[in-house]
Amino acid sequence: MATTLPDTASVSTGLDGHVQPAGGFGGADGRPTPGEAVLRTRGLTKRFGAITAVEGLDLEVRAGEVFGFLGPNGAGKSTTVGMVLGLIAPTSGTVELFGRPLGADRSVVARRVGAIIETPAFYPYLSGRDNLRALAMAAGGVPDGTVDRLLAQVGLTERAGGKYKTYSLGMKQRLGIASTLLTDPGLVILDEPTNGLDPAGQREIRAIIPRLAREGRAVLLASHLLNEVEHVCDRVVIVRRGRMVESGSVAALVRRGEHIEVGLAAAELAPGAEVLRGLPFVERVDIDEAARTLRVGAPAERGAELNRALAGQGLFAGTIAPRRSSLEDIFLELTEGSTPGEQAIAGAGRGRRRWRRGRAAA
Amino acid sequence: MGGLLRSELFRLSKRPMPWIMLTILTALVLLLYGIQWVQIETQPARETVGLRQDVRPVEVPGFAIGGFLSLFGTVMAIVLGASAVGTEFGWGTIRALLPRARGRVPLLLAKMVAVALVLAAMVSLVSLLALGLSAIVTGRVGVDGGTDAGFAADFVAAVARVFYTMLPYAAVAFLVALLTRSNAAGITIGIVFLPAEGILLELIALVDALEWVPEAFLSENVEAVNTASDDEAREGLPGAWRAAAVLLAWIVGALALALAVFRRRDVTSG
Repeated sequence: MATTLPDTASVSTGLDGHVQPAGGFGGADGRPTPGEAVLRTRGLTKRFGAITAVEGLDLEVRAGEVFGFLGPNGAGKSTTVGMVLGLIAPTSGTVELFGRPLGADRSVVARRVGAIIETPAFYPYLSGRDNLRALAMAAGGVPDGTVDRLLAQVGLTERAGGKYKTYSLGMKQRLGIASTLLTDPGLVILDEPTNGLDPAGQREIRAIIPRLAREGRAVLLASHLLNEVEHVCDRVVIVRRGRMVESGSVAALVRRGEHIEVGLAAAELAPGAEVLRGLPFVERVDIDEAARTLRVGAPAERGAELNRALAGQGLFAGTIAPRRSSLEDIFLELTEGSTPGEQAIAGAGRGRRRWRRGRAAA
Repeated sequence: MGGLLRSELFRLSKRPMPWIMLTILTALVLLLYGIQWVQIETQPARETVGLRQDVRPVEVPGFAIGGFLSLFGTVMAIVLGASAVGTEFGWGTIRALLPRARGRVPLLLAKMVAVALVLAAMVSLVSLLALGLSAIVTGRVGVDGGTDAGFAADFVAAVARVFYTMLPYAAVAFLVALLTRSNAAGITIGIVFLPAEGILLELIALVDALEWVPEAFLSENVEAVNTASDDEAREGLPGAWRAAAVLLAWIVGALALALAVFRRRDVTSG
C-alpha cells in the first residue's frame, strides 16, 4: 500500500525574522554543535515492486564532517537521498533529522537541509539570480542579500543575470551549491556534485566541500568518484545493491589495505611465504607467481623485519616495497560484480589496478 | 503557503509563456474588432447592419467575452494548467522545489491558485481591451453603444462567468500533466478533449438511455453558464446554477485527485 508522505508543518519565527523549526537542537543559533548527529537513518528500506533499491540502511552523519556515501551506479544512493528529503516514501525504517523524525515536521527539510540531487535542476528561462530568488521565496525567511552573497561565494556574480540555460555545466553545479546554502542549512546533501565537470571545475567543488564542514555543517557527499571522496571525506559508508557493505573513517579503511610486496626468485616464493607466515605481526601472505612477488599483510614499517626473517633462512629479497591500497581498491574489492552497470565500473577499475600493479612492479 | 505562492507568481511573471499567450489573445481581439471596423467602413451600410450591432459595447459580454474569449481563452487555460505542473517534471525542478516546500499539499495548492490568478488577470485584461476597442469602433462608425446603468454589472458578470468556465479545463489539464508527469500530454489531451467531448457527447445522446450524460460533462454546462443572462440562447441547456455546480464538481474532483496522487507519489525522476 502506498505511504502518505509527511505533510505537516510546525514553525516559529525567530527574533531576526528567520523561520526556525519548532523544537530545539544543537547550539543557541540553531546550528548543530560539532559531532552531533544531524541525520540518522535506521533500517531504511525502499522497494519498487520486486526490486529492493535500499535495504536496512543505518546511517549517521554528524555536524562538522564530510560523510561519503559511496556505491556504484544503481546502488541506491539517490533513492536514499530522496527518502531523506521526503521525495520518496520509505517502505520501512526511519529517518531522523536534527533529532526529530522526518514525518513529524517537514519544515526541518525546508529550512535546515540543502541538497542537490543528481544533476542541478533550475528553471531555464530564469537567470541564476532569479532561480535562487524563486527558491528563497518558496523556502521563506531568507534574509535580503543572501542570494547575492551566495552568488559571490560561488563565483557567479558576473553571470548572475544570465539565463540559466546559457550556463556551462560547471556554472550550473556552482549555482546548485549556492542553492543548497540559501537557508543556511545544518545539513548539506550533495549527490554527485562534480558530475560532468572538467578537472578545474572538480577541483573548485572539492575546495568548497570541506569549507562547508568547517563552518559547522554536516555534509553528505554521495558519489562514485572515489578519488573525490578520498580527498574530502572524513568517514564513508559503502553500499552495494542497497545494502551497507563497509563503513568507517577513510584513514582506517585505507590503512586496512596496507601491505608489503616482497620480490623473490620464482623458486623461493613458496618457502619465503612459509617463513613470513610464521611471523606474529603478519596477517596473511599471498603469492603472485606472475609478478614473482609475495603480498604480505603487515604494517608498512615492518619491512626490515621481513627482510631479516627471510635472510635468516637464506632467502634474499630483490625488492621490499610498502604498498597502500587506495579507497578505490577497497571499493572495487567490495562492490565488483554487483550489477551490469556496476560490473562495467569494476571492469574499468580492474584495468586501472592492473596498470598500477605493473607500474609498481616496474 | 504565502512564500510558495509568491514564488509561483514570480516565476510565472518571468516566464515567456503567459506573456506570449496574452500577446496572442490581444492580437486576436485587435484582429476581431479591426476586421469588423474595416468591413463596416468599406461595405454599404445596408450590408453591415448586423456588424454595427455586434461591435457595440453592450454586445461585448455576449459576443467578445462569452463567445470569442471563451473559446480561445480556454485553450490558454489548458496550456497554463498543464505547464504549471508538467514543466516541473520536464525540467526536473520538482526535485529542487519540493524539499523547499513545507509539504506537498501547500505546493500543489500554491500552483493551482497561481494558475487561477494569472488566468483571472489575463481574462480581465483582454475583456477590458475588447471593451475599449468596441467603444473606439462604435465611436468611429457613429453607432449608439447601447449601454445603460446595469452594463457595468453585466460586464463584470460576463468576465467572472467566462473565467469560471475555463477553470475545469485548466484543472483537468493540471491533473493529466501531473498523472503523466508531462506538460505535452496535459496540453495535448486537454486540447483534444475540447472538441472531442462535444462530438462524443452528441453520439452518446443518440441513445435515449444516455441522454443525461452530456449534462454531466463540460461543454453543455459551460455554454449554460456563459449564456446565463441570455434566455434565448439558453434554450435546451441545463439551468445556470445547476451547470455551475457541475463545473465546480469537475474542478474540485480534478484537483482533489491531483492532490491525492501527488501526496502518495515518489518523486524519483524529472
